[in-house]
Amino acid sequence: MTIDFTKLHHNFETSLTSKMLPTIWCSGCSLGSNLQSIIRGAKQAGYDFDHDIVMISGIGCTGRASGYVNIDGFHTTHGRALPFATGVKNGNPDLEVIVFSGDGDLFAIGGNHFIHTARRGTDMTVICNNNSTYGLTGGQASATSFEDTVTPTTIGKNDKPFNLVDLALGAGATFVARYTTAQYNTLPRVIAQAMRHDGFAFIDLVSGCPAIYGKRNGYPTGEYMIKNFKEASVEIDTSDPSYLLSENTAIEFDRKVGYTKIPIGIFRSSTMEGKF
Amino acid sequence: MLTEEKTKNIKIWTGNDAVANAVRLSRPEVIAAYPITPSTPIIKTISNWAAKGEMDVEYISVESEHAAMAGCVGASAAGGRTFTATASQGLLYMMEMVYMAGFTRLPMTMAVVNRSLFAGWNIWVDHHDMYSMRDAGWIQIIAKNNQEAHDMIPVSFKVSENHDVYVPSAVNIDGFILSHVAGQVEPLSQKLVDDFLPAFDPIFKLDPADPVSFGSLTLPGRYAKLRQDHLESMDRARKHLREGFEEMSELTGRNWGSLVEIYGEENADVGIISLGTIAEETEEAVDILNTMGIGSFGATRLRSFRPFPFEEVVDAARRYGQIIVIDRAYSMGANAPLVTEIRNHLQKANISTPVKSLITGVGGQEVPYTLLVKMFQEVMKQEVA
Repeated sequence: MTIDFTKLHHNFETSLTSKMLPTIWCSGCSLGSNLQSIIRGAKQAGYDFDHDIVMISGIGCTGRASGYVNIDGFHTTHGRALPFATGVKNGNPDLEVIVFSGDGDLFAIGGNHFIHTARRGTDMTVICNNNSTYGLTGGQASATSFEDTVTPTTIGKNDKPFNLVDLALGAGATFVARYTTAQYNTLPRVIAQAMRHDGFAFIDLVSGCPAIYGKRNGYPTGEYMIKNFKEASVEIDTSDPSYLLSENTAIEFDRKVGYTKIPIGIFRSSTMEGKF
Repeated sequence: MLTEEKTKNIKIWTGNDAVANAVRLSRPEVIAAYPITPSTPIIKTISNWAAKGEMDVEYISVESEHAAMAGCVGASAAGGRTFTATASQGLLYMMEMVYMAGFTRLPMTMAVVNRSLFAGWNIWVDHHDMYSMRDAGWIQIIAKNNQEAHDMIPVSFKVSENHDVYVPSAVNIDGFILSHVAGQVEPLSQKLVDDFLPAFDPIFKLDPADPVSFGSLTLPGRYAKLRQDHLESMDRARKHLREGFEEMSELTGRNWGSLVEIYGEENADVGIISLGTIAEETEEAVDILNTMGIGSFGATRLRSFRPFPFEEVVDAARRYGQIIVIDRAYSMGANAPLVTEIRNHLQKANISTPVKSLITGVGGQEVPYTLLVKMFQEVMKQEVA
C-alpha cells in the first residue's frame, strides 16, 4: 500500500513543514507527541509563529524537530544548541527562543553549556526530550541511561544517570519542571508557562525510545511506554520543602518493567519566589 | 577442487567490521570513544566485546569526542596502547586534543570514517574532515577497500609506536562506501599480528617511579626545536611506513604497493592521482579509457597523505605525460588540497608535467567509473596556466 501524504491531514499542519513529512521518528517514539505539545503550548501562550519564535536544536532524533516546525529554526551541531540560542537571544532579544533537544545533546556533549546558560539566567525555554539514549546513532548509552540497563555500548552496566531536575535546580534555573509524554493535556499549559517565564526555563520531558532503548529495557512498545509513564508518574507535593531533595526528585527505573517512579510537577517557578 | 591449504578463510565484513576486528587483534589497552555516524559501528562492536569480556580492554564511554581524544591522550601518556574512532564533526570537535596528541607526540591509532562537514547536514563521504587534521602532526593513511582497512590497522599501531617515529596515526576509510558496505575480507590471524606488532614500549610515560612532566612551559627556542624534531620524525615515518606496508604485504601475500599503489599503464599519457575508494573506481575507468583509442591511461593511488609521498609523486610525474588529481574536498578561494600539494612539490622538484584538477564526490555525490570516464576526458581539455 502506498500512502499519498498530500491527502493526509494533521491537526497542526499549518505549524509543520509539510514537505519534510513524514518524520523519521520510529513508531511509538515520544517525539511526535512532544513536538505537538510544544506547538500547542506556544499557541496557548499567544505567540505568533511567523514573528515571535525561533526553535533551536542540536543533533540527534530530537534535533530534527527544528526542521519539522514551520517557524524559524536552526539545526545546530552536536551539543551546541545552548550557546547558539544564547547568541540568538542576545542578537535579537525580542525573539522567544525555544531549545528542543535530547539528553545526549544537552547533557553529555553539551553538558557544560547547560550549567552555564542556566547560571547566567538567559531568557529561553529549554525542553529536553529525555529518552535516556542516543537514538539516532543506534541506542548507545547517554548521560541519563539508567544503571544496569543494556545498550550497544554498555551491557547490563551503566554509570549513574544525571537527575536533570536536580542538576537544573543546582545550576540556578529559575523555572524547572518535569513531565512525561503521557501528560499530554497538562504539558501545553506547562510549556506556555515556561515560555512566558522571564529567565532560564527548563522542562525535563521524560520520553521514551521503545524501538531501541525500550525494547532492551522493559518497555518494548509505545503503548506500554505511555501506560508505564502514567503509572510511574507521581505528582510532587510542593507544600513539603523536602520534595526538592535529590532523592525525592530522582527517577527510578527497573530494567524488567521500565519506569517505576517519575516525580512530576513544577519544581521551581517565579510564582514560588520567596518560598524557600 | 580446492585443496585444504588453498581454502581461504573469507569473512563478509563491512569496513567498520574490518577495522574493529583488526583493532581487537592489535590488543589495545584503552579505548575512549563517542558515537558518530558513520564510525559508530566500530566502537559499538568493540564495546560489545569489552562488555562481554571477549576483549581485554578498558572501554571508556565518554560524553563527547573532545573527551574521547582527551582520554586517549591521557591513556597514551600513561603508557597504554590506545585507539578511538570518529568522523566529520566529531573529528572537528576533538581537534584541540588531536593537535595535542600530535604535538605532544603520543602514539595511538584513530580510525577516521570520512564524512562531509556541516552545513547542510550531510552524513555521506567526502574528505573535508581528513584535511582538517592535515597539520596536526599525525600520520594519515587512506584505505581503498575493507581488506586494506583491516590490514592497515596493525601497521598504523606499529609505525606510530616506533621510537624513530613516535607520532599518532589515523587510518581513513570512506564513509558508507567502505564503512557500511560488506565485502570480502581475509582476516589477519592473531599470531600474525602478535608477531608483526610488538608490545607498546613508551619512551616516556607517567610513572611515579620515573617522573616526567608533559606539556610544561616551553620557551621559543626549545619550542621550535620540538617542532623541527617532529618534522624530522615524520620524514623518517616515510621509511617506516614503506617497511610496514611491505612487511604486511609479505606476510599476507596481498600486495598493496607501498606509499602509493600504481595501476594500469606505468608510463601512460594521462595518470590519475587520487585517494581512497575513488581510486578503486578510477581503476575501472582507466581500463575503459585504455580501450577507447584516445591515449594510454594509468593511475597512482596515495596510501599516505601525511607523511606526503614526495618521491613517489615525483616518480609519477616523470612517468606520466599529464596528471589529473581527484580531490574529494574544496579549499574555498584556492585550489583543492591534494592538487595543491602535488603541484607545489613538483614545482620544488622542477618538474613541469601538467597537473589538472578534478573536484568531485563531495557530500556523498555518486561517482561511478562511467562518470569518471567522461569527467577525465573533460578535465584533459583544461588549460594549465
